[in-house]
Amino acid sequence: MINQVKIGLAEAITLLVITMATKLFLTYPLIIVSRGGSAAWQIVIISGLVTLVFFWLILKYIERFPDRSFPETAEYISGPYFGGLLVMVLLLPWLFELTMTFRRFGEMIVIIALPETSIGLIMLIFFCGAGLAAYLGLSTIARACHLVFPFTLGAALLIVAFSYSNWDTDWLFPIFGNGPWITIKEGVIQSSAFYELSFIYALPLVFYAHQIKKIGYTSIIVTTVILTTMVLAYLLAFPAVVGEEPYLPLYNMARSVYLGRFIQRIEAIFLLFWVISGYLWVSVGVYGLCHILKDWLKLPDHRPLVLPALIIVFALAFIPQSLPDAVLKTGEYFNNIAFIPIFGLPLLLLLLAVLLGKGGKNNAEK
Amino acid sequence: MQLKHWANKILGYNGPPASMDFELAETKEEQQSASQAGQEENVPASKSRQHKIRKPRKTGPGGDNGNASSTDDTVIQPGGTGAGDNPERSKPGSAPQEIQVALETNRKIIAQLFNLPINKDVIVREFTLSTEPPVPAFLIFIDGMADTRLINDSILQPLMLLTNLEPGLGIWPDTCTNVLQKHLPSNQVKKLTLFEDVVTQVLSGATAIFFDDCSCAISAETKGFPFREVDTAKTEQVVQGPQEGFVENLRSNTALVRRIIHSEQLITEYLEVGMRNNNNVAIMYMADLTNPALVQEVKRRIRGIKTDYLAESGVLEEFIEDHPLSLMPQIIKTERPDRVSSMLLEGKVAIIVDNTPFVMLVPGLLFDFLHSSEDHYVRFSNGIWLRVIRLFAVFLTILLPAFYVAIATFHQEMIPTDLLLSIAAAREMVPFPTIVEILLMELSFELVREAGVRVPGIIGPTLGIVGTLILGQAAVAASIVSPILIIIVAVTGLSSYAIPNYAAAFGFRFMRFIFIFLAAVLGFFGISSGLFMMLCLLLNMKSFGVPYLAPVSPKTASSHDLILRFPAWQQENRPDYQQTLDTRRQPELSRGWATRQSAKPPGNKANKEGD
Amino acid sequence: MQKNSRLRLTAALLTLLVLLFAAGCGSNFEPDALSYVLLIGIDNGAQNLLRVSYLIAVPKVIAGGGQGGGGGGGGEGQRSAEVITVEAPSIYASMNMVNSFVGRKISLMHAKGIIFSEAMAKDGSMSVIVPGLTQFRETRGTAFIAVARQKPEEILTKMTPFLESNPAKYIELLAGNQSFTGYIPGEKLQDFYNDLKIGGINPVSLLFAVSDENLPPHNGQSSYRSEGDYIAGEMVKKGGVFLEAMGAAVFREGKMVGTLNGDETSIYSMFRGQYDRRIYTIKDPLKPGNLVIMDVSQADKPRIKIKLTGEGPIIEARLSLEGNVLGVNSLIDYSLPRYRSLLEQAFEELIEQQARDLVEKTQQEYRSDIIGFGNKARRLVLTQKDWEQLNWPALFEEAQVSVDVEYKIRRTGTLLRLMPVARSSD
Repeated sequence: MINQVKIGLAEAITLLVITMATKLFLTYPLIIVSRGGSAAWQIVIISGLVTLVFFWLILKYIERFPDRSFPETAEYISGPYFGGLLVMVLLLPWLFELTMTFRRFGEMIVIIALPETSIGLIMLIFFCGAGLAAYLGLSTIARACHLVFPFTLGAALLIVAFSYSNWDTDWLFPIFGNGPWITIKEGVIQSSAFYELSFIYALPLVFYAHQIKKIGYTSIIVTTVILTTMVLAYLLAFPAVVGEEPYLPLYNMARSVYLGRFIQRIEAIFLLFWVISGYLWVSVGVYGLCHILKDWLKLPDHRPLVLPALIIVFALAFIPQSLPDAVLKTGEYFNNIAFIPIFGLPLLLLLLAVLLGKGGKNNAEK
Repeated sequence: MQLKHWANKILGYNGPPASMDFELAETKEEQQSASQAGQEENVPASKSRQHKIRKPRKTGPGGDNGNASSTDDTVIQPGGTGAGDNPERSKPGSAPQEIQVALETNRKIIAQLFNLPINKDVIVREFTLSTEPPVPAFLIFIDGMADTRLINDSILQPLMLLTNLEPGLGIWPDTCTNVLQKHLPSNQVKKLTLFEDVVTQVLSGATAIFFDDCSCAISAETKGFPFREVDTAKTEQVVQGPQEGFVENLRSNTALVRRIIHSEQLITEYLEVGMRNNNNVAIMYMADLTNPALVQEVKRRIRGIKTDYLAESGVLEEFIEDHPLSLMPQIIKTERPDRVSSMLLEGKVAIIVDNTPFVMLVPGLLFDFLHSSEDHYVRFSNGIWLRVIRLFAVFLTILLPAFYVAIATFHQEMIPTDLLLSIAAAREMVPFPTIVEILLMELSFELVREAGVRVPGIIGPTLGIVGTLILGQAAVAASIVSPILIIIVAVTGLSSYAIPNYAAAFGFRFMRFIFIFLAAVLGFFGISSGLFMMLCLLLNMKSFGVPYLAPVSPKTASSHDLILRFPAWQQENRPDYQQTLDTRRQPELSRGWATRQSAKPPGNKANKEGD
Repeated sequence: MQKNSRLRLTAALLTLLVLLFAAGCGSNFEPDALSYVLLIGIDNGAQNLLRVSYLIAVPKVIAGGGQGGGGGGGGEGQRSAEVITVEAPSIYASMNMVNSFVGRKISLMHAKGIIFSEAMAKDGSMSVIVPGLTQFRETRGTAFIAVARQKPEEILTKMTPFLESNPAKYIELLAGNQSFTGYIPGEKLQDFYNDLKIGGINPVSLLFAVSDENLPPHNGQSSYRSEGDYIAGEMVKKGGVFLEAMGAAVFREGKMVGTLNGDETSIYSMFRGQYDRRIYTIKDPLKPGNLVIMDVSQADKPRIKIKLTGEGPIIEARLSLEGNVLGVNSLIDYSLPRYRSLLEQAFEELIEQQARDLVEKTQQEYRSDIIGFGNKARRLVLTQKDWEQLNWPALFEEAQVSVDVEYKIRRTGTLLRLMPVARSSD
């Protein structure tokens, strides 16, 4: 049995923030703007607040079972069969989102950089890079996140700063967009965007137990701030009607930068950071998948699982036949319901544990 | 377990490499306090490391080393007696271990050990001590290694002529001790009882003296072989700062370091490597600073080497480094004593191999390779500037040609129209695609560089300039490459020389080709993929238990000496990742005179020093 | 054994990669395998739907500009950019069609602008094509968009700068001159598209015309005419480039409904906050026969307030400008406070008048809210549904607009005082 790798506070926070915020480079602003119109930025804030509440409950669950992995807890609480089912409930959406994001990153590169290259080749390269990182393990990925985070954030903020000349505060009105009730409803639903937070309760043992609380709250708040800033900047630069259209909103924003004859045409530079954060996202996903499987199957090491898992993800990623399918259709399914399994799962377990009197102080003998 | 077996079979998976086992970890308390304070670290939980599934892989040597080497010994040496217990010290030629009583027997054994009639370098001189009764004796030394004048004056003369002053019964029975104490005016003598030691001593230039009827020998220090004088450092030059460099002689090298660090805590340990040759390897470290685990690990690795001989420190480097397949060096090699001393005071361990002017320092981390000792000798603002330039140079070296290829062939929308049109115009008559063009130029640049090194003497630099200029000019004139490309290649070449470490510069230069290839195939996506993989591999690397990108990732407490060099009086801490025993270089208030209190003399000052 | 299998795996992966690389990743083009379009001209076709013209840069002439002299001089040497026109059903098809007689692949990556014919702008087909242009990867939202009063291919043919060897530079600089002339709007393709899509504003575009290069004979009856009182094609000029960019084309519901002259365009820019600075020549308020020349720049962003009342919206706009007196023909010392305030007031009234005229023109004649009062009106409603119910285009036409201009003279050129000229007769 390999020693459990632990990652430190700053690494854990950046890991979660990078994974949760990377969707900015993909379709997230588009989805949010299409739901909320000119009030899209409020949706982000509401979903952040909702996620904070959910996390408070998740924390209760984690504190009750401090030194068990997720499959262990699930099986401990609800028996091996139902517990196995619960692990599947965790794994399947995970696999689904991983697959789709994998595909979306591939499509992103086709659109931004390599319009005439086959997506198979691009995704194969992605496969190798993410596979390497997942194989090297969580500490490498977490350190990479920690190292890359300031640069990626800087690049994103640079886009915001450069697009300043295009800003028009009129685009933020009407202030309530499609109506306050829609905004609140979408705010709850869009807490699905904090999907990657499930990393905390699915792999609780990679964090230092006493830091989990801080990690969770900080990363949610930081992510909400980043997402809000970017969505707000996007809304300022493009009116809501137009903002719903592009596949890669931030790419469009970078393309619209024109500060004289020299500072323009800068979008390809951002590609560097976007690709790297895409790699990080996929490798975190693959690593998490392998890690949960490892815990579930009680294997000593996650490494042998990396290649098979990647091959499955790779194969599944080609199922949607077109880009709009990979974004709109799956987004509809996923974004609307994902928050139920993500945040419902630990709550269900917590509820069962309380009812059955397992875990916590009753668990002293363990 | 079945699954694991199959996984192993299919994927060739063998678990993490052995080198990942050692970790220069913080102490338990430090870990606790650090994790509380929000410092991140990557220390595994306390459980014992059990993951040793590599064992069966090593079918050859490995677990049953002892047997293998001892059988080797017995094949060569019929008289060998179980040298296998101590494999690294076992060597051919140690017939009977103990020195015999009879002088004649000893002579024969010596003759056998040194292949005497054939080997003309080894001189055996028989003589008699002029005591009553006279004691026959002989001494042995290697011509050229020992100072013959010294042997004449301070060994033969006193023993042959002056021993008759011995009163009474003569020198017997305790010949050795008596001679040692009364008759040998040599400053470094040793009493030896094993032939093995005799051979080692003689080979390193000492003179061994055997006496009749005595089961021990005396070795007297008579080293006197020729070596190069201390000269200026050739490969790491500085404008301001000490100019001397190490030489081939091990003793001179340790002396050069010791001359800088006047501390009784500076320890020099000697190890021997090489089954056929016995290279002397010295390890230097500060006993009160360096983490003992690090010293232990260095010794463990060096002792674990089984090889014929070490030609140079580079060979030893390959034997002990963590990731021999990596492009980046993980051990600092320097020929500057001042650099070695400052590194020793940071808690690193120096490894000095005999016969090479390059001293190795471990652990070597990425940022160490970008530092030059001169950064500290110039004013701090200049030092920062030097470092920034150098960091810039690293990125240019790795990425500039790749960027050019990516932009010119994939992302034409990125460049200003004017520049794009002039690139297109410059390529008008060029028959090759951009990638061929750039490879052609890069390869010829490498050629010029390599030829410049090999060409004898003073022609070298001239060849470099002439080669580059004329080749570039002619290539442009002949429309083989475009003029913009010459600029790219020239800037890249310059940047690669701005990297102070030779090995690191090599690594970066090689990486450049990988990135050129990636850029030619996939443009910016290729470059960023390459960067990501490079980052992951670098992050995964360790040098002697310290993460390779240490001060940056995992982030440790700053020693104010990374990319930005702070003024000397602000560099209060030693690098945290070295896990030194004493973490502070100087108190917070290092400039005593700068405070108002210090104007009033003794009382305060004494207090401060007490801290 | 296991070591071997790892080696084999690596080898297999590498072979696979190399094969894939070899199989094709055809996104790369040598820079000299592309032909760079600098300007696109689009017109109705005679036989097919569109007649598309491309201004294609000739790199060897541009880069060899040093010895080649003025590549565009006309007579000798090759032009630095060539115009190619084809008829095609769509723009992208026309690119392929051009490549049936041009060797290098057409690339729109460096297209600096798109010029439509007036006919296309008027029948609304321009607004049909623009969204397609923003969807294409190569065209950029930062290209300018213009309407040509003549045939676009004619405009492209006249695009022979005499200063720059590179027409791209000329085009970009020309469009950027908005910042100190104010005669043209700063509207880019992306802005045009945005304005087209949303309800609160209507788009405008640049106006290009071929100049007739004809200097009328002197008849001794010259009179004052504001420098902005021209539309492209009407200016009296000769030499340089045979083109004029002045004024703007106004659109309503995607169709061009009229033009603005240079002065009106300046006012339009002031309302939209895009105005930077320009030079105004006005009649001297104290000695009407004389002129005052001022460099007027924007002091503050315009403030526009809208109230909804029963009789329609009431709009209050406030423009703040500041200026620098460059020349005073009448020799009145406008640095003295008593004269200065008079001058300021006169200029404020002038701009207010022009602004009211412009608003009236847009309300009555063009019935198109190009100034974007609608965008400000969005603040009055809470939700998108309310906004749609508001029906702004109808409200706009009956809006009461009052304009208040605030003008301050900050400095008076290099001279602090202006002394009268000594005249013997007085």
